[in-house]
Parts: sequence; structure tokens; C-alpha cells
Amino acid sequence: MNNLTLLQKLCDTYGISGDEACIREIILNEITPFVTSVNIDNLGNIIAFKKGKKKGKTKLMLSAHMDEVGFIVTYINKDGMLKFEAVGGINSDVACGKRVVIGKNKIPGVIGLKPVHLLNAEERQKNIPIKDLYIDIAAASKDEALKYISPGDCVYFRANYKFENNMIKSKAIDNRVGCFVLINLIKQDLPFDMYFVFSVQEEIGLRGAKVAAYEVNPDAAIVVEATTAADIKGTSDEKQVCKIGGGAVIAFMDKNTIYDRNYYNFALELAKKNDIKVQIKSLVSGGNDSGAIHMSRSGIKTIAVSLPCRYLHSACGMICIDDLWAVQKLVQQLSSKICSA
Amino acid sequence: MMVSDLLFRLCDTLSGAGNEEKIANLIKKEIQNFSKEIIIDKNKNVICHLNNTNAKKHILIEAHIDQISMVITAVDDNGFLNISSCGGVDCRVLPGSTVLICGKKIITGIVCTTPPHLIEKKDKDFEKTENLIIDTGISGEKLKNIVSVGDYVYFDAKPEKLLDNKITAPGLDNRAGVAVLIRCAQMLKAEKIDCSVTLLFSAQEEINSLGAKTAIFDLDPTEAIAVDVSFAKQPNNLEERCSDLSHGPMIGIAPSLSRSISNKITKLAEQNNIPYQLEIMSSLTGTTADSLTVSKGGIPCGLLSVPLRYMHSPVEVIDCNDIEFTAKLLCMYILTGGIDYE
Repeated sequence: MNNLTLLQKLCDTYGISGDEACIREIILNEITPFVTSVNIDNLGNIIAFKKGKKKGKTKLMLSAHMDEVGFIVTYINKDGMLKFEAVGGINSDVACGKRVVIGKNKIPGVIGLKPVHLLNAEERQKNIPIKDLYIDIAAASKDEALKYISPGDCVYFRANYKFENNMIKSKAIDNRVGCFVLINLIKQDLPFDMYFVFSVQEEIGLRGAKVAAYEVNPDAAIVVEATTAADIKGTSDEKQVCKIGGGAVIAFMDKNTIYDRNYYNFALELAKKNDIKVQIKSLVSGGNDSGAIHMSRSGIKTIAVSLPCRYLHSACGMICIDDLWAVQKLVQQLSSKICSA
Repeated sequence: MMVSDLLFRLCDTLSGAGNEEKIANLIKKEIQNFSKEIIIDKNKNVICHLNNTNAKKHILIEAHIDQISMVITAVDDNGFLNISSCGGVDCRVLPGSTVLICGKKIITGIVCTTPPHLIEKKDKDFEKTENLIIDTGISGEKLKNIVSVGDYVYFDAKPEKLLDNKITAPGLDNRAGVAVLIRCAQMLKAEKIDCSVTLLFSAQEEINSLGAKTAIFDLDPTEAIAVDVSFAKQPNNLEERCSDLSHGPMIGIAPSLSRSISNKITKLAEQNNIPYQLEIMSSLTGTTADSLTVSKGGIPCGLLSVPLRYMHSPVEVIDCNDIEFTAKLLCMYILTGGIDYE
């Protein structure tokens, strides 16, 4: 379970929404020897089934999305500069001055700005919308750029995984940590039969989870996800949502979902009983695949177990390794509990 | 010597203004094969004599060695740091960036940013550098044992090759200029030089050009050329203020510069088919040349600049060919004896 090399591999792999082939390949290689059956659906979701010691009373699906946020090349200027748009919710300010890699061949590029020397005082602080930014691959012309890039190529924040002082700092922690937790669970002997979904296109509107939930048709679902920790200097306590180092995050509701109250209570009880650190989300904010899953067919009882992560949807997030193990333990306990209930 | 390899070594060495020890030592090492007389002075200037004759003419070639950086101004109990800029850092590139914090050891920090999920106003403006916060993820005493106020902070980005011979790295301002001088020294090694030539790698340009001002006072050359970087064209930039990347060195023309020097350099470029561009400025140049010119009783001074995109950001871009051409042009200027006094 403590195999952080796998987590690094998952985080360093490039795969934005609609472009999950590479990350899917890695996950498939990891899980295939350990599952009873595995399927790739029409949208690219991985749907795996693993037999446990027995069939549970409740048919459970565990889900984690495998896509990350990034950008897509929309147009190439005559001077060889690439225009782009965001895939998923990215504030333009975190795109400024960043290194990116583009397309299948991972061509390096930079998102540069007008030199600060040539700006007036107002411009120096003024927001720059993504439509005014461009990516420079140092092509001398449009023709040269076209040798390396095509419109529609995906753009990724550059891989930057680091593990220092109990903290992991990387792009794509959202949601490769969820994938990591599910892979670890699959590699163990399970007490009950369970379904596992590695979903696509979460960042553009929970699209993969919606069809996967329909296909699996479970009674219950657990979503494993990274969630916003805003516990930074200058943010008041009640607005911090959750804290890194504070343990697994459980919410009673977010912007899309009112979670099943029984499962919510199970999670808190199990955490207490097994000495797993948990915290309750202190702000109704954000959302995850639960939003699509709990409304599938005639409704699916759903709960999310989340990992607090600072700087979500930027070039570098930060999580505490202790929280990761807390999430892993809680998901393990909660999945058995739900199956047997 | 491959210019790109040299640049990678130079850009991998972090040295902000007032903290030039590492880069000064590296430059000394890089240039030791081309000169017998190299000293690092009390201000961390590297001074290198190529041909210390008693010739009347003494040409000084200068490039600053410091880079844009930040300094820590406060360390709190929860792992957060406040910073101030040391040189004109472009604060717009900082949110969500990683930075290297050079305390007792080097640790990675992330510049705090609020994710879109929690922001009501989407198009929020940038904070000033002084209002930004760096998250180290290390708390309490443990952090205070590593980091102190006054420690330097740098953009976290390794040099990387782009297409052709182009490179992106932080600190290309002015490691590009440093590379020009080192290449020039290498080219001159086998040549016979009639005048006295000194290479000055100067400290603290990004603050107040302390290094250039003090060193030229002692060196007392008869003429000087500063080598720096300047604006290359990019979308949305003022076309008339910029040159083209990959189109050769920019020869400075300004009321504050010596027209004899710029004319001579232009002539040499024409005669030797070296691509060049003119950079016309209406008063001062914003480089060390402004200080060199008014040293002592006045020193005629020229300016050569390597075109660079996205100045003072972590993703500065240059073309190595421009560096090579700049070095060649300087080399010819020296071999033809500097200013032509007609």
C-alpha cells in the first residue's frame, strides 16, 4: 500500500478530459491481474469487477475519475503561437508564466506574458483572460508550428511531482490520488464483491460517471476524490472548507449532492471506531462525480470520501501523506460496511 | 563549447542580486581556460583580463550576473512565508507556481492561490508580490530551522530546450549575456589582441548596478560595451520597441550611448554578414550602460542585446544562435581595435 512510486507515476502521466488513453493504460496494467473482469465502455471508463469472499447485501460501486484539468489548442497564429482554451475549471491567473507540454509528442511550450517593463501601473495587476494568452513553442512560423502541433492537441501542466516533508506536491493530484486509493483496494483480498469505476470527463461535467453508474447499476456508490483545502494564511476558519493534515474529508452536502445521511453517519462512526482521522467539510462548495452518480436510474445512495488538497486546478497541488492513508483506510472500512448493510 | 550546454549550467545556478557567490564561482571556472588573470572582488564581480598589456586602449566588456529573485520577509507558525521582490519580478506569473526557497537547504514552496471552486468573481486581478503568500507545507519550529527572513527565493523551473536552438529558462536575463562574454573569451583565446581587454561580470544590476558602477571605477577603461538582453517580439507587444527572436544581436542606439561604437559595430556586422537589428531608445537604456557611461570623467559606451521573450518571468525564451552571433560581433570589435578615432 505504501507504494508511492505508483502515485508518482499516476500524477506524472498526462491525461486531460477526453484524452484519458495513457492514464487508462497505466491503471489497466495495475489492476488487470487482480480483478475478475474488466471492461472499457464507449466513453473510455474503466469498469472492473472483483469477486470478494462473498456477495454483499448491497451492490457497491467505487468510483474515481482519472482525467485532470488542462488546455486544448484551438488555433495557430501566423507567427507560430498557439491559442488555447481551458479544459475544466482553470483560473487564467494560474496559467500565466507556466511551462506546459503539448500533444502526443509532449512538445514543450511556455505561456509567456508581455514583459512587466512595458506595462503601466494598472496593467501590472490586471487580470489577463485566457483568450488573451498564447503558448509559445518557439516555432518561427505557422508552418513550422504545424510540423509539431495540430489544433485539437491537448495541453498539460508539466509533470512536477515532489515528495518532501510528508507532503506531496504535484499537478493532477485531483484525482490521481482517488485512482491510487482504488488501485490499492483492488490489490487486496476483498470481503465482498465490488465494482470499480475509473471514470473519464469529470472535469467537464461528470460525464463518464453518469454512464458508468447506469451501466453498473449499483445500489450504492463511494466516490473517492480530492477536494479543496483553503486552509491558507489569511482565510478565516469557517471558509477553509477543510485542512490538510486534518484527515479524510466527509461532507453532508456540496453544490451538486446531498449525501446519504446513513452513509455519512457510517463514515463518522467507522472513523471513530478505527481511530481514523476525519473532518467534516465546513462549507457547502465544489462537487464531484457523486452529482451524476446519485441521480442515475432511480437513484443511488452515494457518499464521497475526499482528500484535502490545496491549490486544486493549478500547476501544483499539495496534500499530506497522512491524509492519503486516512482516506485509504476509511474507504476500505466503509466499503465493507456498506456491502454488508 | 556548446552554447546551450553552457547556458544550462549558468541557468541552473541560482544567484539573485546580493547573492552572487555561486554564479561568480561558476563563471570563474568556466572562463579559467581562456584567461590567466581572474579575480572575484569584494562585491562579487568577476573580473577577467584577457590581454593585460600596457596598451593605451582598454576595452571593457560587461554583463551582469545576477538574476530576478525574491527574498523572505516573514515566516509564520503554520508554514507560510511572505516575500518581497529582489529585482522587478513579474508577480503575475506567481499564483499557483512552485518556487525554490534557499534556506539551510532548498525546499519547494507553492505560491498560494484560491481555486475556481471557491471564487465568486472569476476574473480577479493579480496581487502585488508583497501580498502573495508562499506555502511550504512545513510548520512551526521545523520550518524556522530551515528558513529565515532574508533567504532568497527563486522561480522553480529547470532550463529546457524548445524547437531548434531555442531555450526556455528563468534567469536568461542575463545569463545569456554572461554566455556571450564566455564564448567571446573562447574565440579570442587563439587571437593576438593589440589592446587591453577586460571582461567584467557584474553584480546587483537588478537593484542598482552596484557591481558595474564600482568595478569600472577601478578598471578605468577607455571604452565599454554592455551586453544584456532586450525585448523580442511577441503577440500584443509594441512592435516598435521590440526586435525579432533569432534575427541576431540588437545594437543599441541612444542619446546616452556612443554613436561611434554603435556605428562601428553595425559596420562590422554588415561587412561580415552577421545578422543584426537596431534597438533605438530615446534617452537611457535601462541597462548597466547607463552607469558605465558616466563613470569618472565619462566613458564612451555601447550596448549589445540578445533578443529575449517574457523578460523577468520563469519562462524567458532565447535563441542560442543569437548568443553566438553576439559573441562573434564582439570578438570582431575587439580584434579591430575598438572605436575608430578618425
